[in-house]
Amino acid sequence: MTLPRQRAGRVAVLAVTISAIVVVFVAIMVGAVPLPPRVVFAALMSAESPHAEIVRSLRVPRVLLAFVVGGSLAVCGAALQAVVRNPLAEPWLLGVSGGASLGAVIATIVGLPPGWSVAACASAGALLAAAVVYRISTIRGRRLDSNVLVLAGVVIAAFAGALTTIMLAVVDPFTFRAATMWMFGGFAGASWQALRDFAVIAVVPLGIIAWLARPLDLIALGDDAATSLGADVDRVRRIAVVVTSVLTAATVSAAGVIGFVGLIVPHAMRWMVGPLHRRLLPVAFVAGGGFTVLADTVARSVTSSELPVGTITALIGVPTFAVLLRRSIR
Amino acid sequence: MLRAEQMTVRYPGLAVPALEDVSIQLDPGNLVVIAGPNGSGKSTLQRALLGAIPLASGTVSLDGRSVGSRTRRAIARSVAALPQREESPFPMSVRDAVMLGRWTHLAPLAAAGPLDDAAAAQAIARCDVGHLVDRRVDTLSGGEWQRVRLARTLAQQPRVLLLDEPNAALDVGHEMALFALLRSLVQDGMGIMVITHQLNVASRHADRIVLLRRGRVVGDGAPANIMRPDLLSALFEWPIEVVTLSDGTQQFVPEPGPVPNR
Repeated sequence: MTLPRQRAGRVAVLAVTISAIVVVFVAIMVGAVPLPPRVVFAALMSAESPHAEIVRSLRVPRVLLAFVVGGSLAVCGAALQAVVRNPLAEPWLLGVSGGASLGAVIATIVGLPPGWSVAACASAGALLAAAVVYRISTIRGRRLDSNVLVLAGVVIAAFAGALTTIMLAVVDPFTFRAATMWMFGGFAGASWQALRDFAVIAVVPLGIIAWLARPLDLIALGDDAATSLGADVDRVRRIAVVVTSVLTAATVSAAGVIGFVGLIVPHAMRWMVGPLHRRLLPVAFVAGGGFTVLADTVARSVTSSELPVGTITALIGVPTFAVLLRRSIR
Repeated sequence: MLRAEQMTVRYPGLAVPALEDVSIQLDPGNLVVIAGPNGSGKSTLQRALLGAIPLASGTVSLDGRSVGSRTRRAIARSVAALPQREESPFPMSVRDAVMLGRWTHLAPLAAAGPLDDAAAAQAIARCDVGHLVDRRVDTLSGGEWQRVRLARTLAQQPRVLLLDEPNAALDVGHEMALFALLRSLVQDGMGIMVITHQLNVASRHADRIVLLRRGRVVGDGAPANIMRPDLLSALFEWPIEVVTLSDGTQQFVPEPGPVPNR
């Protein structure tokens, strides 16, 4: 028996997937040199075609990096929202992005080369922030309080932001410019190498989150219900916090801090396909990817100089979020 | 099959233990009712039997093996529990909510199969929520939601059922239907523990009633031995009369009592 709601869910999945493919293709067409679809096709098919260099070395890696980074942020948001049972949770709100950004800035200031070492420092920062937030919210052996967790996250995010600002105040202008890249997200530095580095770090956390899809469904119900339905609540929560921290750190070292994707996308997709994570996580990945590619395309084409992609995700995200919030209340 | 011996539970920061020296046994084909005043440790007892909170002393075992040595998934395949409260910020359909009872039987990435669909359908039918399957759970009344949650525990196909005030939001008709359902499950060999304040219903349907007061067992026996005015008046600190109906069951009636100064 096919339910109307399940059919609606399938239509939504199809619509999201097709939209994402269209957005990705249009993003490859758009740029300083606009390329018609025919030329893009030709460049994708043959390295000998006229604009192959622009398409293959610049636009495709950039679009793909934006897609996987955005998808990962949406997946992190969906998982964290279930874990802390709060629809407002996302890596930024829980202080994880702030910790990752601080780690990356420190790495840059002490002169570590971009790539693995920055990613490692970002991961260390993200995990440290998550550990402190987690520790604050589980005082005296009591169970984790999701409201305290979110408050602790906001406080740690502010603290990491303050430390970052102090550090940037004392460095030379060149380091300042390099370091601020981690604070304001963007894909200007995208390359096949950056894409490969990101993919290598991201694949394990993404796999683990997929593996946790069912326990996440249960944890969203509350600790008592989840326990009685067979979820090892503390263990799943700890694993989820660690893997989302590492994944967030990977996105920060690839493209800096990008807010709102982890907040809006899971929220919108939950509204379309329901809250069960076996359906939600893959759809959120595709939608988060498409949304971030769209935001990046706008960021690099509306003004002569490039805007930080986070400003666009906020500009699109906030009104969308407000509309969704009103709809869900009605 | 589920057996607790001399359990003591202490919550951090509280001087008085939440449970002290409590022993209880839940056998197949038995319906045990737990009753007692607010804060007497009833919900803590349910958590402790699930192995969900650490014991200061004592043991809980399932089929002779400590629950602490089993995984949560293994426990959930044998023991299903209905917590008193739950609130999810992410409402789903009734059908999906009942299917969550099957997660403990499924491998992490496997899809639900015909066996799971059949178990969920049977649970939905037994709890009389078939007409609600396409509704979102946040549109249900308190009683409907309670029956959906009960269906979810039955979808687990457990041998032991632990229910914390399952009749709290039910009207009389559904309350009686619930206990009739529990009796039929017991006849099929399930062991069931129900926490409830409705001693009159318990008196009709329970095989045993256990009374808790300040974390200690103060009464344990057949309904006829528990439904005594002296025992119940002392337990609830209120004058209580017990009347015997024509079919022999005892029913308790609180008296008007003194001016409240509690």
